Amino acid sequence: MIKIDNLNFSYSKHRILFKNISMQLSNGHIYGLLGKNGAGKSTLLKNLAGLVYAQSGKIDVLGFDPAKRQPALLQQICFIPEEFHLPAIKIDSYIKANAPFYPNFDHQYFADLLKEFDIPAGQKLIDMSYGQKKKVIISFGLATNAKLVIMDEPTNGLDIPSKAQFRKIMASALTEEKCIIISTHQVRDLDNLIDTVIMLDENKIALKASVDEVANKLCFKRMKEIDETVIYAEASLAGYNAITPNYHQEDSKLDMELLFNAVLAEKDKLKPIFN
Amino acid sequence: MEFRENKAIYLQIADFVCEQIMLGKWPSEQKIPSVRELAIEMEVNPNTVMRTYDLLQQKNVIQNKRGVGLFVTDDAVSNITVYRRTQFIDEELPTVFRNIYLLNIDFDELKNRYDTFVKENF
Amino acid sequence: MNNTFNTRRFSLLLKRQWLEFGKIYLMSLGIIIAIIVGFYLFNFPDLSEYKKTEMVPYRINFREPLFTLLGPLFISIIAGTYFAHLGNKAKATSDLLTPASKLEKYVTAIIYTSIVPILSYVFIFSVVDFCFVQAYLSDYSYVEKVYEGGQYVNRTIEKGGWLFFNHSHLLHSYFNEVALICSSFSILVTSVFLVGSIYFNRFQYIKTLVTISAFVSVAMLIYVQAGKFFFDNKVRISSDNSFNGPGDNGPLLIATGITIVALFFYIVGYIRYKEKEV
Repeated sequence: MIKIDNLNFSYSKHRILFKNISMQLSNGHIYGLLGKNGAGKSTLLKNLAGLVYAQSGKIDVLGFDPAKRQPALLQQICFIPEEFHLPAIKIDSYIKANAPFYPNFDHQYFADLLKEFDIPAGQKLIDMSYGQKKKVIISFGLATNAKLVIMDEPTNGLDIPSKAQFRKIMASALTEEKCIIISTHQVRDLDNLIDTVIMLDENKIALKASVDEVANKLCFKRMKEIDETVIYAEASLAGYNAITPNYHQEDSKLDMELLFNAVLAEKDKLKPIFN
Repeated sequence: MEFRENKAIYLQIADFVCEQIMLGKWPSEQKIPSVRELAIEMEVNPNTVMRTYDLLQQKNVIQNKRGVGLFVTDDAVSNITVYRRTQFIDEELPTVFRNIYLLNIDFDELKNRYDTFVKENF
Repeated sequence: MNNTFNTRRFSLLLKRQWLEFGKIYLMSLGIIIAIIVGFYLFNFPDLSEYKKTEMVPYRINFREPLFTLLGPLFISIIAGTYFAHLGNKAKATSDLLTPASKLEKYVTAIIYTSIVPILSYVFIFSVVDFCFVQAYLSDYSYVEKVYEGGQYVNRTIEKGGWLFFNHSHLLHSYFNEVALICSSFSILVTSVFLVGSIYFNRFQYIKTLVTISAFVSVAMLIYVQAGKFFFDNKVRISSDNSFNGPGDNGPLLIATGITIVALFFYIVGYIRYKEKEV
């Protein structure tokens, strides 16, 4: 569905973000895009949506070049930016003006989503809080039934019950035809939703692996003491939270935060395991 | 559902499904929630539930009736017992043994305690 | 699927853009109407006072400067606000990701910044003018001397003759030519401000204005200096003594020239818009 080939991107000479990035994303998955602040999560997403232009390299989304901003592709993209804009009008008028651009827009689904999010349909967008507006724009985006769903920090600004609603909604939104990419630094909000992790670090993709693959190759466990098998460990109350190679085919629960820190700290040890 | 720290999510969901069946909440020969429905309830990726259901089909706890959906098998309960038994012996018993050994607990004491526990609870 | 232009998508886009742009537009229009009406109220002659005098044609002279100064101000503000949102990350994202082609979006911009404001400005100006003429000058007539066919003849102006866009009350034989240049000039103004609103990320209007002033001053300076360089201490030598002003086609040529420059700016704007990043 998405093919990135040798992408080079920089905002200026001193701010290089990507060096020769290549990867492929396919439909039927929820990708979690992780990275430190400034690693380029939002920029990668913007590249996919054609909002910024790379210096070199090729991006192919559903057979289109996103930089051309062709309507045939735009109607298949649902992009939820971190900072978004909604005009000061009623939800109904917003839908009336924007939904017809999307041939697969599902009005019933939109109504269901608003209901799930507890948002009254007749409300004016200007009277809403940031979190409520975010729910509206997420509902709109999903109701377009776009094939590519891109969300930049979607849980920012959502309260605790809304985060649970969001997880339910995303679990229901994933279909065979859709490719969902979510960037986040609040991994705990989403770690059971993500089935493939993409981590950006030092201008590269530091890790791209499905949760199953990670769990096959690595073992996440509590240890009393660190031994030489440990790849990475963090001290905790009950000893250490550690990552070791998965020698005995154990089925452990992937700890996204631990993995993230391990990738940042022990790139060299992890690389051979995943290649 | 609250997931525990250290067991793979798909296995925890498998435990949940088995428990529903053992408790009789999902009677045999009844259609069980679809992958999507269970994923929504658990707030997890549908692919994870898919993996759970694959595992349970292998264990003959549920079966796929073509075009209709997933059903609890007739002998689900006994299959679950077998499955859980191996799981317990493989995964949980070693920890118990380790503690018995470390804390120096006598087998006779253990048996007495076990008997009273069964008497009180079942 | 046509990725360049589709009528259905285009009309959807017109509706969508109006939803947000319409408010600003109507508000500006309201202010402009208020200003025009204000000027008319203060300056328009009351017949009870002027009936017996012949001052009316001079009393309504304020209309020309009002029309020519207010017009560019209004259309430049409208043109300057249309793409102003591109400087705002969130708004630009929603604009650029709307499933319509770049051409459709740009043509919509031209319609809303050039065609609609120019037409509506001319329309409301003439409506206000019509109302005042009807109210105050409907039974006032005036005889003026007009140079026609090599001699002066008397001509009576009454009622409709006082309307701004009729102009038979003044000796404006080249009114049409002025109008031609004016309209091409207003297109140039909108094109420049449209480009400005795409080009600058913040304070688009002011920055565009400053840029234009700087550009015009530099151009003037060069013009004056070049004139000095070429013609200082030189005397004109010509077989006839008349000035060789622009010929009969002069205004048309000027208008065409201005329009071509405007088109150039529109094209620059389109290219800038295509390359806009968030």
